[in-house]
Amino acid sequence: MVSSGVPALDKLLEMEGYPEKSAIMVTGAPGIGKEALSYWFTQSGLLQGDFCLYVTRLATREVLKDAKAFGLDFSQKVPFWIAREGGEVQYEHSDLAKLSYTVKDILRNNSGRRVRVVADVFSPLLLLNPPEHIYRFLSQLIADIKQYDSVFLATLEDGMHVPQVMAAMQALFDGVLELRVYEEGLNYVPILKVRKMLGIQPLPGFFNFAFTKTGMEIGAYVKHT
Amino acid sequence: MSSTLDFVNVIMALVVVAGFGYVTYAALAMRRTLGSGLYRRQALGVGLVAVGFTALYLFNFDSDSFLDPVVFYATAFFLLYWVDSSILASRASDPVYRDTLGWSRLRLVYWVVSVASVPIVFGLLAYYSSIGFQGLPGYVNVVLPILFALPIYAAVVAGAVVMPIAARRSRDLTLRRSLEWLVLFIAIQLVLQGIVVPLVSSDPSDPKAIFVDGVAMLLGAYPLLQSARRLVPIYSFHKEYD
Repeated sequence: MVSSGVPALDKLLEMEGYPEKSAIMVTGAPGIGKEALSYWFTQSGLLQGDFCLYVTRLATREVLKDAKAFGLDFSQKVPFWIAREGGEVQYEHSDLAKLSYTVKDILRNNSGRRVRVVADVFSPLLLLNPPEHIYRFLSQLIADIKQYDSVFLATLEDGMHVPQVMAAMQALFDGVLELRVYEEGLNYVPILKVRKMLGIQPLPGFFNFAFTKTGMEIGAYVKHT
Repeated sequence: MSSTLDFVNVIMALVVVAGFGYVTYAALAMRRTLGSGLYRRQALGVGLVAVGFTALYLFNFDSDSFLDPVVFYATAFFLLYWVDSSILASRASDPVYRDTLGWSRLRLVYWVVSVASVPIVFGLLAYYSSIGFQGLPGYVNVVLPILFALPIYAAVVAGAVVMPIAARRSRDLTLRRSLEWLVLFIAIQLVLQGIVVPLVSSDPSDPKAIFVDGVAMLLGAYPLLQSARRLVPIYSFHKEYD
């Protein structure tokens, strides 16, 4: 298993992390904290000596600043960046072929070790390209990644894409985690749902989550009546 | 007649405080659910705007209070804070991440100029009051009101020029709805408090003026609540839990 970097999530998934050679999607509204899951996943990989590739449309300094707000510090060990600025490879939203080629090249060059690939670019790509193109691109990318000892984590924004597109994208992934805000009386509750996860029984329950200085806390949701 | 209007105004003030208290609570509750600092700031901004406008309204009951400028400045800075965080959040949901009118750098100028104007205004006022406002130079009469209102001008200009472009570039429909509701709230306040109130009375603490202010606040409560609630999509347990 490949640790998610969040002990509470590893425990929840009953198998100490994400399945090996899997593709995981994290969906949620902008700002809810999807990226935090990708930061912890990356940090966990770096600490274990995995090769970590981080694909983002932001500048690396912006990602580092955001990660720092969640208590993560990549100053000692850094991932390989495909980023708008400051990365080893520049991210260009209009060049899917280059992105695909670069990822495959990196996987090939690191075939002797475990690779963690994080992509925080699919919502903008879906907004800039026909969904069919991104569907084909993503399915090919996932197939390529699974040829190696690697785990792929992607984020997708909730509320920016039509439900059919969301469903089609989720179908490509082995695991889908949802972060959502639910209304409970006068209160608002952040909820994590495991929509599906390869190798485990469906988890139909709702789980509270909260970000703390030490990480992410997850607990079974108890309905307040 | 006046005592009846005073009574109505007091009741209205209680309703406004309760309503806007709930709006502030909703904004802060929403903030607690968010992980990203950018969006948490935006939620806080909605809550601060609710607090600021409520304070402005309540201070109209006693327009000679020495706290009036403090409340005015606080509201202006709360508004600027909300506009700033909304523009930054809009950029985050722009697929090509455009920096609208160079806001990432321009915002620093906005904040520095707005904050710097406060000690200048109070410094000028302190100086001329120490000399008894004798022989106040003409240019001070022109500059002082402009400097005094600079933070609110800054917020209004950024809100009217930069924010609509940034919001249009954003592809986050939830964020857009939230901005639209808040703009509606501010439009109601500008029209009723900025245009109608001066027509009703030149004294802001006149019961008739306070009545119009109260109506503006009551009409604005719902749009502001919607703005707070629509910072992220909200799902219902009723459909999924049972």
